[in-house]
Amino acid sequence: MEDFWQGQVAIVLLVLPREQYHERLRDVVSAVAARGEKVCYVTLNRSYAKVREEISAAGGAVGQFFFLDTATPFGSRAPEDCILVGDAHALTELGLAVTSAIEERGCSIALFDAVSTLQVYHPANVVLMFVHATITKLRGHGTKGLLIMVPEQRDSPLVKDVAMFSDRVMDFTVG
Amino acid sequence: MVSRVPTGIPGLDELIGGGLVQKSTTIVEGGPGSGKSIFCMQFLVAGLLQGESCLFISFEETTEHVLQDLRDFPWDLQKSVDSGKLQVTYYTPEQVNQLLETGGGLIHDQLEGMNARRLVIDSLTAFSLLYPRELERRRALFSLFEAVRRWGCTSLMTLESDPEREERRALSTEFEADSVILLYNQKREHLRERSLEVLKMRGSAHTNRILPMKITSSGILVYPKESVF
Repeated sequence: MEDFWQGQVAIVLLVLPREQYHERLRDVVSAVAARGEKVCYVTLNRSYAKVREEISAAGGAVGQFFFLDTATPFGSRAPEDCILVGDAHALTELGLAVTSAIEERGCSIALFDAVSTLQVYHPANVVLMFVHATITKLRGHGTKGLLIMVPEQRDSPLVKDVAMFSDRVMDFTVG
Repeated sequence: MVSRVPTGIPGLDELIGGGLVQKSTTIVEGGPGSGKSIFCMQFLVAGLLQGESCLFISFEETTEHVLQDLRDFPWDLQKSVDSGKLQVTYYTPEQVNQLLETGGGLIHDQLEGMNARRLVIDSLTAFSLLYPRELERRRALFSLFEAVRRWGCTSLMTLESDPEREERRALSTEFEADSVILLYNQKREHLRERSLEVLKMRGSAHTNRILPMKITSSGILVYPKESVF
């Protein structure tokens, strides 16, 4: 991953097995936190508060993270280090929040936990359009992207499609 | 070289050649709550900030209601009204119809007295309701547009319609205007997302994309580099 940290590889797709999702995710987040860069953590599965708590419990520097949270419903008070998107249906809003995290908060890495969750809310082609547009945005800003997917099955069509737009695929579901 | 008038809507002018063509007529069209009145007042505020005088004609709400509805924005409209730079005038559509029959003199005098550069008419729908028959309505709207052009301001006129409806057909009013801007408030499952489209703009190379739009505490923002999903 050294070429990723150095910026030679911009977009990495991490395919995690469901049974190891939490464990692998902790490793990824620890590795990201250790780099000292400002990270945009897009949490689609769990509330930002929960993610923040876990990062802190693992000894990570929470201050390095800026969160985009689609899991916490609208109506909650937004903290300083988070944009509450409020709903995973709101892809346009999520796109605006990613731009805000990059341009206004100086995030140089964007971590999506997890892209596959969007399939619960949107058809696969819409998810793919969003991912493609987001990757284009990240590249345009020189921001690195870590896209986590936790597919229901191996050889998931969406994983294959997202892989096409990524610079590298690290598939932890095989071997 | 075409003179252009900034809209005052951040993100929009770069998509329409730098602003609205001076003295052009623009329809701002959308459903209830889509932001038409906010858009129009924000356009006038842009003029006020440049020292221009502006006139807001309402066919549906009194002056007090117009100012009250927009009081939460940081525009201090009352101050502009008190200084005379902004006039908010309520006419019933019947009064306007009478004015048009006499050549629109009173409104023209008002505009000339203020040396107004920007005009908003809110809304064409209320005006149209006076005419139950299609042919009469078209003639009346044609007269209104003719008058607005004679008055020589850069003008916005609101129109209530649902731009999302599949069976939507181009309204005759849209053919009269130089420009048409559509404001959407689309339902996505259990939420709504706002967006904007420049349907038509004579004399301007304009974007054909539908763009995300927000109504914030400062007014309307358009996001030219973002996508609607």
